Amino acid sequence: MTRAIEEELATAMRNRVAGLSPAPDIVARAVRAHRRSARIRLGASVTAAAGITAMAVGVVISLPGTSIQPSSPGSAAGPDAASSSRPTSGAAHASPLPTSPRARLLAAMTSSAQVSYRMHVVNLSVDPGHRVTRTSPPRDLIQPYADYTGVYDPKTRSGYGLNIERYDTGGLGDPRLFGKPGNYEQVRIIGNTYYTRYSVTNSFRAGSTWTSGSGSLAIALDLNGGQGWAPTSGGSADPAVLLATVRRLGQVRLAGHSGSGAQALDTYKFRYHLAGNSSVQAHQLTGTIVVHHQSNLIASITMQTTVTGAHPKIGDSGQTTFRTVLTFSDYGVAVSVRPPTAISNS
Amino acid sequence: VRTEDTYAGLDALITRRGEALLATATLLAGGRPAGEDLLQAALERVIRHWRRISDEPELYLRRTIYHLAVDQWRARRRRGEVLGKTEAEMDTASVRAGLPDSTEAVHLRLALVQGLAQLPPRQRAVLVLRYWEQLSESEAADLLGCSLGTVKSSTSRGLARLREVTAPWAAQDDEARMSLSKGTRS
Repeated sequence: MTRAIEEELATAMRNRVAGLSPAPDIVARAVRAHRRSARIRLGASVTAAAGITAMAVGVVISLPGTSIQPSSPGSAAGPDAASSSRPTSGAAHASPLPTSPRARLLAAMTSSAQVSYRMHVVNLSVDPGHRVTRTSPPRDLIQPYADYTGVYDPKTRSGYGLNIERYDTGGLGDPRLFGKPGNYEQVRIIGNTYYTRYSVTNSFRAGSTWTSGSGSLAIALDLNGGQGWAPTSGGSADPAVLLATVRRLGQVRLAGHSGSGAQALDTYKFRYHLAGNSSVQAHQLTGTIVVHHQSNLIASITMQTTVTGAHPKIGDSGQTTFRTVLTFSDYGVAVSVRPPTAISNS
Repeated sequence: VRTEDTYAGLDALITRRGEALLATATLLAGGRPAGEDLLQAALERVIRHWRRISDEPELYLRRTIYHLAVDQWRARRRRGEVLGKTEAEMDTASVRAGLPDSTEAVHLRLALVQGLAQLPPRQRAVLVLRYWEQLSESEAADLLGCSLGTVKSSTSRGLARLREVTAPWAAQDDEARMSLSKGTRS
């Protein structure tokens, strides 16, 4: 190197940022985000909490500090429902499954939380009718947070996978890039530690540095844009935490049955009512859980919540919807993961 | 979102200084999208305290960008972000900047910005302050709210790491000098 590294670095930095200019609506977006931040806190934490739990143990729904509607008459509500449906391992049921939707769903959650699985997680937010500039036509702004595929073993609390960070859709970026992969993120989870590393392509250089942090996969993936993390989210692989969480289920109903034999699926709908507060109007989280009928293992979970400010006339009147879809497969898959060797201290 | 009245000063600031602020944020965050996120996060912070700091918003905004990059940005998404431009982008940028660079130089600078993006946040922030913003060590320490010693050690460690990253180019240079020297002697 004929020039000092300081000079080369300065030149490299100049080249790196040559021609950059901020989006014309960046201040408007900041104002919007500022006004939205308070009101999304509740909604985001709800979705995130559910996502954390779902990914950590294959089960959804955790609403610490919120009041839950009692389940409908006739369902096996409350703690007795969980204890009456003993944990099972996969398809081998030692006793007949409970008949009430709520108890059967609890059993499915418990079973799924004890077997390793492959999962696909898609998490995003949608701002309907977003205007990029004051004169641009309204269109939905879709911000993807995670498109993750990986495996996880609740017993060893370990797993690994690949997350695709996709470009926003409907924003200021090049429309040709809307929804396209922008970054690839490898993730490893071991206990309460996560490791991530990034690449702009789907190939990672051998020996490239990983960054480690403390927290669940949901935190590693920064679901919901990293906003609204609730420390009491119930995001644990501990079955005791799981059961305590699912006992607080909201309204659950069996919405349908499809297929036959090994392809038979039961579909459950659930719903939480969430009270409003000084920053957010009353809203609800709704979701669907699809369960394999024969094995009573969860096939997929879809959930979403739409949040509106408490005072739209003086704040932001727009709505934001947070949506998460989790798909589970390959129950019993072998999961072997070790900490990476090259880890950054950042 | 009504910005034209309440935050008119902020709009004017971004119009005037937005490119430089985004450049700083991009270098700190490791990529354009993350840089814009970082700048927006800093703007949100400024808006929150607008009444108090509207007299001197740029100073507050710049300080906030650095503090978010060092202390809090890790908690947000896109930590790794895009590590650097593609070679084609680097070539284009070099041409635009009027730099008659060789391919080796382009690769070297790509490696440098990639290496910069992989440094711990404080080291990265110090190097950006020193070699992008051209601040003195004491000015950098003042802006980051840390000691002069921290700036010195972070600079030293950051540069050492970048030297490691760019060692292959240094080796090529040495070989070239040696062959040139042999050629001159013969």
